[in-house]
Amino acid sequence: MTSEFKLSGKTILLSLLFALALSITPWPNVISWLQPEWVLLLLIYWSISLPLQFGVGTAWMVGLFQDSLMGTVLGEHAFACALVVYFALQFRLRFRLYPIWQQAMCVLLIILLAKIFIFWVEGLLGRQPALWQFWLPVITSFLIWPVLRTSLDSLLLPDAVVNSD
Amino acid sequence: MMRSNTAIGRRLLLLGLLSAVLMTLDHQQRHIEAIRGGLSLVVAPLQFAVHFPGYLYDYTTETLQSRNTLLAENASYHEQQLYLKARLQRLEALEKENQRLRHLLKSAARAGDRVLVAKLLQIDPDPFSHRVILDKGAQQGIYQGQPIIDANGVLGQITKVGPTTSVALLLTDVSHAVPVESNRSGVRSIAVGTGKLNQLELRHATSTFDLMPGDLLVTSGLGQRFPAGYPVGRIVDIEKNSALPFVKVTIKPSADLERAREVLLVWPEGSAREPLPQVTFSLPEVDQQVTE
Repeated sequence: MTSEFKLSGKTILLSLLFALALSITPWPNVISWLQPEWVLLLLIYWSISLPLQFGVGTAWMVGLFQDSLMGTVLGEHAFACALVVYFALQFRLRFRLYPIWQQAMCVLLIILLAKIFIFWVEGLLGRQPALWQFWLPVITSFLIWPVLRTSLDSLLLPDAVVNSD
Repeated sequence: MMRSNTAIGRRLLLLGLLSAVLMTLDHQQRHIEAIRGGLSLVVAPLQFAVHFPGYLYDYTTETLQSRNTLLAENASYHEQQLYLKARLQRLEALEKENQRLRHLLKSAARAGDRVLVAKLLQIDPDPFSHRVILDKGAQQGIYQGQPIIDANGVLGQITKVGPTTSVALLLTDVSHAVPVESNRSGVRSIAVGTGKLNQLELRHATSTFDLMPGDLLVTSGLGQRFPAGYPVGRIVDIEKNSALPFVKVTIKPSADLERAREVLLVWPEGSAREPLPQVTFSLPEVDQQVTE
């Protein structure tokens, strides 16, 4: 099973820019609580699809830009992104064989880990989010994964040998 | 082909260390202004792009307004201007009198603080912190700790400065506090944010304080960050509970924290920093203490 093909960097860059833009778009409170972690989801998607072009270093840079955009302390989202891509790369081979809901479960665990890290850092800085809504994006990311996975596969990787079920 | 797992693990460890160093330095706000500034320059176009639809909507609704609405608005502005002019006459007299009295007391008269108008670029997407991003930065002479106000009162202060944008912390953020005094009785205290928009609380207020619901609290100028005399909020509720050492004083901020699109950046009179001259103007001094 090889899916190690190349995709133009432009597509990856554009998709990540779009995800970053989504993460800073102002929504009414209810919608902003329900926003999935678009950046982390895309990072997982790209790192399991294009492990050759996409590593922890790239993810770290993306996270650094997110920190700058959101005004959080530099390095917070950067390390969360690197962590997510690290685990995605670790599980990459098994991941592609899982049925789609099992993949979503893995995504949930990985994103939960990243959120715990962010929660911890914010707590250290004395800005701990006290509301339970902080954890809602983990659930919505889990729910959106199957849709994201299948639509991105059919949109962006038409020639690829993709082992999704 | 693929890098081995241990190599990736080592890279992650390295990045973790790098992140920890960056976070520590950034939190203590040392040495990495250059990195922050560079990053904020790179991401500024994206911020503009995200908020462009909003601007476009504002612009079109403004240009497509009917003639009647504009006429009605114009008329109401005329009325308002007349009213304000009348009030200003009285204030000018009061200001002169105030200066004379201060002169008599041999204290320096306060000149007008200098201000600069900035637009809100973005409101923090994180619903748990009250921060906004403004479209003015170090190039316009903005500095860290600078107070920002709107037409009705104090909004907050600048916490981070980039070359063309800056981050401001609002009054109501849990990590924000401002020294205040009651306009009526002169009692001094500290107003801290509660994390809820439209609510502040006084810290360490005892039941013997001369405070009443309806009192206007203004900045006291202690702490030397906010200039004295700008309204902060009105007391809406004082809850006395004999089981607690302090009373709970709830304050409603004067500034429109939810609605402000344009804010004023203030250079307190006598501060070492000066704005770039061509973009600023002077406010006529209105002393809150005297108008009451």
